[in-house]
Amino acid sequence: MALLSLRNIDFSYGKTPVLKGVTLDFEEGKTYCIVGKSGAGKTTLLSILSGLASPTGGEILYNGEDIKSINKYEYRSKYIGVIFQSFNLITKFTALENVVLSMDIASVKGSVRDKKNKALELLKSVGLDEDEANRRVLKLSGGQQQRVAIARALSYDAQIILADEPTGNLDEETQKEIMDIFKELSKQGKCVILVSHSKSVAESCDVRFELTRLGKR
Amino acid sequence: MTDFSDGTTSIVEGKVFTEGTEKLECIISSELATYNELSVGDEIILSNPQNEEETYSLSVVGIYKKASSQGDMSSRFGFTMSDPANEIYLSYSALDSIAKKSEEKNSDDTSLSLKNTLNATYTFADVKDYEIFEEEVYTLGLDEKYTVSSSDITAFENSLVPLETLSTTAGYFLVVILLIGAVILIVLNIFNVRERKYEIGVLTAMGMKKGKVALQFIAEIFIVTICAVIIGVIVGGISAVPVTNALLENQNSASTMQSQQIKENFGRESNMGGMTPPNMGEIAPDGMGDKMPDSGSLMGGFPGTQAMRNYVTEVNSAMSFTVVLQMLLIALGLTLVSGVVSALFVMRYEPLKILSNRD
Ligand SMILES: Nc1ncnc2c1ncn2[C@@H]1O[C@H](COP(=O)(O)OP(=O)(O)OP(=O)(O)O)[C@@H](O)[C@H]1O
Ligand SMILES: [Mg+2]
Repeated sequence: MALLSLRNIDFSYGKTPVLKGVTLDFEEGKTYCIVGKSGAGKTTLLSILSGLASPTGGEILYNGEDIKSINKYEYRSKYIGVIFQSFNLITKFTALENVVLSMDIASVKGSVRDKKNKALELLKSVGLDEDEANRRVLKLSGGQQQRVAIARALSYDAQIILADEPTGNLDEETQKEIMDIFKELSKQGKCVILVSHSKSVAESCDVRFELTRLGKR
Repeated sequence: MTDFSDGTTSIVEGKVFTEGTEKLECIISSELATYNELSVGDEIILSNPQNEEETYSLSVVGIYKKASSQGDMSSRFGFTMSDPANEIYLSYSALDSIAKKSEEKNSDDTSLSLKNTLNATYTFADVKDYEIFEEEVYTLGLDEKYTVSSSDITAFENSLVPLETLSTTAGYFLVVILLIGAVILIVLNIFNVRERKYEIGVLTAMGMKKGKVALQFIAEIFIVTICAVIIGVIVGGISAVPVTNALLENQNSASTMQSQQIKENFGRESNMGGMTPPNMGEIAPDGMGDKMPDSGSLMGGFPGTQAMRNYVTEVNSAMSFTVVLQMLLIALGLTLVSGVVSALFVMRYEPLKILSNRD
């Protein structure tokens, strides 16, 4: 059984339909890439997967259970790790604080020191040194902010990683490093769902889905 | 008599008559003694002002001296009977016996009896005793036609007027400030929440419960409130007394102006005070005749003249535990209201909408 499945999902912003009859299955231990033109509804699809947006039709199943019947706060804070296209970091906090905060929200066990150490380690693994980790997010470059967002999504050991253009602001080399992290995670049994315009990213994933823009087919 | 107990007046020669004695013994002031060349052991003759032929002989057993002479004011106005130097003290029983004798002597014309010119003044430890007395005196048979009054209590109540005026003004001021403050507080909080809308969006998108986010906001407001209350209590505690006293001084000088006007208009002060303890009668010494330093003037009796007192010219503490508690309650109430408003805003926000509508 798939870990996460979309069944006949319809979605529209007001009267503008964005998604129609989308049925997809996501399994543990695999990397997925959702591709499609700009405005095709990739971000919208991730919002639905993360429970932030409710589909106008169809259902989302998590471990075979309708997502509506599970606690959406727990789902968001513990089961999924989201890397937003626009990062959505708390800019007045430091990179480290952002990561620790999400661990707190997910009620990760351990002392503050432990959490800090883990957060520092994670930030280091995405290429941010201690100085950058202790800097306010506002004073980090776009690519650095993106990596903070990645570290944050990974910080509480979520089963599913949803990443919207996680490497969009990164150079080829860093992009490759990040992709290696995602692949490593999928090897550990996680389900990694990416959205990317990058051909190389798409090709390095196990499964690819293409979304087409409604009405422009 | 209070002067004796608080030490402003003391016996300088001889002794005080025995309490409750019917012997016609008295103590006189040192001034009276000097002007009339009297000393302990001498006899003085007092006559009934209504009936000069009726006289009483009193023996001086003691001479008292006031530490500070309060007599200037009234002697300037020429009120013999209100010159404190003319005060003669004798026991109540002695006075009572004089009054009885006077009644007998004037049995043909009771209007001449000393009883009619006697003023009884009673001193009480506190207002409660006075109130009990007020009731008892009627049950003991005082005609309803008489009224029991205390010029001291009236004076005290009058002196409270500036304080009450101040209190009411301050009260209205406080209400206005609180209302304006409450509105400002709520508006500022709404701004604060709107300002941090994005933060709220991120936190809820990350899976933090809205209730928790709202609680976070309320907690922040509370911390600010606690700090504000502490600062308020300290600053208030330090400044309340001097500020209140300054305001009070304004109020008091306003009411002094009024009483000065009364003085100018009527040529005299409004007389208050003058108290003797219950066991002491006080004869207005009108009848001293030519032995008095300031003789003559048989005007009606104002016992003992004292300038109108402002009982409350100063407050020592404006802060009490209750006041602090009230402040705290008001502060917490306001915080709660604005906190709830903030919380409602937080609960209304949808993370997706916030995050997709970024400015
Ligand atoms: N809040 C919104 N209200 C109305 N329409 C929206 C809203 N958000 C997105 N859309 C529209 O929905 C469609 C899908 O948007 P979405 O953000 O999912 O595209 P996308 O595939 O992620 O594009 P990109 O690759 O540029 O990120 C677009 O046409 C967009 O204009
Ligand atoms: Mg997008």
